[in-house]
Amino acid sequence: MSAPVEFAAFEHAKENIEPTREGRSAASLAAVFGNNSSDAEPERQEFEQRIKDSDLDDDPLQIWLDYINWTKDRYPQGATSQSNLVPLLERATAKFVNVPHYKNDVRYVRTWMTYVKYADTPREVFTHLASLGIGSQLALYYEDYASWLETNGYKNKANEVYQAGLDNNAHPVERLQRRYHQFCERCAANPPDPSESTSPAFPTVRPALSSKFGGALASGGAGGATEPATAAPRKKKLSVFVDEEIPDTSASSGPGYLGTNAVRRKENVMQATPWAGETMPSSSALKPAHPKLTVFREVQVPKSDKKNERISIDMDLLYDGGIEFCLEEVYAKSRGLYGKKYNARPATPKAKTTTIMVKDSSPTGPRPATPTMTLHTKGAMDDIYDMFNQPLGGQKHDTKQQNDDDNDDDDDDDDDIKDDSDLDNESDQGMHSSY
Amino acid sequence: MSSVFGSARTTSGFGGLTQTSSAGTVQDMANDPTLANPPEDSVSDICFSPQAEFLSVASWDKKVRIYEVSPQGQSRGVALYDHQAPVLSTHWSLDGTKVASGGCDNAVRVFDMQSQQAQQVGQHESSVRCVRFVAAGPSDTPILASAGWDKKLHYWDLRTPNPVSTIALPERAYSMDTSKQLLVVATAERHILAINLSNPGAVAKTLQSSLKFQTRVVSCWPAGDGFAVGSIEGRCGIQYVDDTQAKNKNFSFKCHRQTPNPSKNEVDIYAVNAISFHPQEGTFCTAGADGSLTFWDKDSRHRLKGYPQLGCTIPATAFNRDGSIFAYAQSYDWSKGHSYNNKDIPHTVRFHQTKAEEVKAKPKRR
Repeated sequence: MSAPVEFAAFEHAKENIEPTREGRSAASLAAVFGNNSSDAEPERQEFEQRIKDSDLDDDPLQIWLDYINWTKDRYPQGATSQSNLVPLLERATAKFVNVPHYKNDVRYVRTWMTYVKYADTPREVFTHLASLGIGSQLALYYEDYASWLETNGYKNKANEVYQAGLDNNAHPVERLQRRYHQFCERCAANPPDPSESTSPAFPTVRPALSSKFGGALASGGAGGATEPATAAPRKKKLSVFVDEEIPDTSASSGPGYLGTNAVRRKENVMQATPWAGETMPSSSALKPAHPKLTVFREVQVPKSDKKNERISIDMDLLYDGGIEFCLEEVYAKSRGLYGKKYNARPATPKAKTTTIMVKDSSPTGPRPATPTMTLHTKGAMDDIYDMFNQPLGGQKHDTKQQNDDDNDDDDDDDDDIKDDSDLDNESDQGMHSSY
Repeated sequence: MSSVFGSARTTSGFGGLTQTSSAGTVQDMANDPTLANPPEDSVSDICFSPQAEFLSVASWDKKVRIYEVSPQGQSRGVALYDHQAPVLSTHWSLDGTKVASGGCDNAVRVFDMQSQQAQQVGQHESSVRCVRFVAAGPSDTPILASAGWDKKLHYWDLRTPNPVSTIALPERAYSMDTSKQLLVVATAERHILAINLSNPGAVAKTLQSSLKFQTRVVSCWPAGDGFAVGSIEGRCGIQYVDDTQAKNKNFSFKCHRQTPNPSKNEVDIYAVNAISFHPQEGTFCTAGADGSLTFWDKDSRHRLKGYPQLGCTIPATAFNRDGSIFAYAQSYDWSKGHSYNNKDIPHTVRFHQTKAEEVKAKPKRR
């Protein structure tokens, strides 16, 4: 006997050790976590070499099992990227999936059960095994499947699995029976949820689809297994595009192939490309339908830095309709003075002519001899309004001017338009000369 | 009231500079004489003659009144003339012989003190907001400038009915002031135009108000190289026209803010309605919609004296020609709309005899 192993050798790493049912060897842990742990790579190369040469062996499975056990011992952390445990299990299980004499080999089925622990969809693995008939004679399979179903709340299905195992006389029958009784006791104490889905534990496949799944079902049917024909892995139902240049190895294709975790998740893995020059596709739904819409601008309120500041001015009045007005404008508006026109321009020398100005492009032929009195121009209207809007006690100056207007009444209304519109003398002249 | 003002002192000031005993009281202003025969509606503008002790008062009652004001602040009406609509601005000619006014009747009128006759000299397409007599051109020809809400600045030779020159403004004119060769027009949307009167037909510089809110008033200081701008948001900006000076000397400060309840941590902000510069000292007084007056010295960035809220908004202020009398109008400035106007609000002007502590510029701190 060698000297007892110091617990302190792997004390610092104990949180990283995955517990196993059978426990771990302290010596191997100390070897792994000890100061003088050797490099794992040469040993791994050795195993890989042995696997390559194992095709001629009587029991090639044993080499895989050794490899798996070595990995478990060497990497007590479990399935990590360094340990490569899950890919190894996938390789080992896929390797012998079509080897008949291993189908009910307890070591091979145990390898599957180990893999189930790390699989992302354990139930699919179980149904896959059922479809291939692997472990169908072993109580181990039924116990593990039923246990997984029971843990996940499918008690009716677990019951179904136990029944199937007992029907198949799975070995060892006594242990399976004992487990089943224990399960029944647990169910009596804690009855299954009535709302549990009623789909069968081993889903049946419609015969019409059997051709699609080819050999898997054919072998299942030919085997005459009492358990019902099972479904192919769900992923197979979808036609997944596979790059043609990927070489199909015999172990990793065909009807019995479940696929590795990596293959199952390949749609979720983004291809690594350089980021330079990449553009993010933006959803067209996010684009505003009417970008030219005028944006509502709220009246700016001063930012309150520390104190609550209130402007003691009626901002609604100052920014009526989004236009800025000053207080005088607000006051003038409230008195009806804003924008009002006054025709109190000091008397300007009037034009001597009595002609009215008509646009040269006017379509009317000969002009009327007397000017028409109903010219609805804005200036004319304003003049008329102003006559009525004169204050009663108007200024002398204005009334005088009004009289002036009345006196030279040989002018017509159009003269006042001339007054309002800022026609300077030159353009006036131009008009007359063209006439 | 003094407690109110004491708290107001903390919210207004030149960037936290130390304050001297600058707080005035209501009692200090209580004896300020009021105007004899005041207007019948709100006062819109007041202006002292640069040559004699005359004050012109423009009012919303459509009249311009001219008073003689004694050195003690006693006033006597001497003349009155009418507009067709409320008058918004009044200004004296440089020789003190004429009073110009403009108002909501879109007319620019001039009253001759000699002949006691008013005459319309110009016409806008909308209300005339501001009138100022300026000495323009190389020969300092006296002409009258008027700016209105028709977005026009007209120069009027008093003898011809048409403007001698016109400048298109970017927006409606809100305020205008002149000093020496500088004419400054402030418009809506915070535009400010600076005009060099040696070339009055062109805009020398287009500026933006240094304040973020609507411009309420601009006022040029006597040196004529810049102006103070007041906004509706209790803030006052000092802006120089020259770029390098503007870079080094421009600043703005908060004023006319009141804390009615110091425990509540709330500040009421009032519009700066008027800014008047002392003609000799170059110090100035701001008046606000809160009804308070504050005297400032821009060069030392110091507050000289503050007076508490006098119970009525102050729409206009003016110094007389030697700065011994400070006139401030008291009437409603419409800052809270129609519903706040009532008959108890006076329409008057009061005269304050200025003290050295209020207007004397402090020696610049080194």
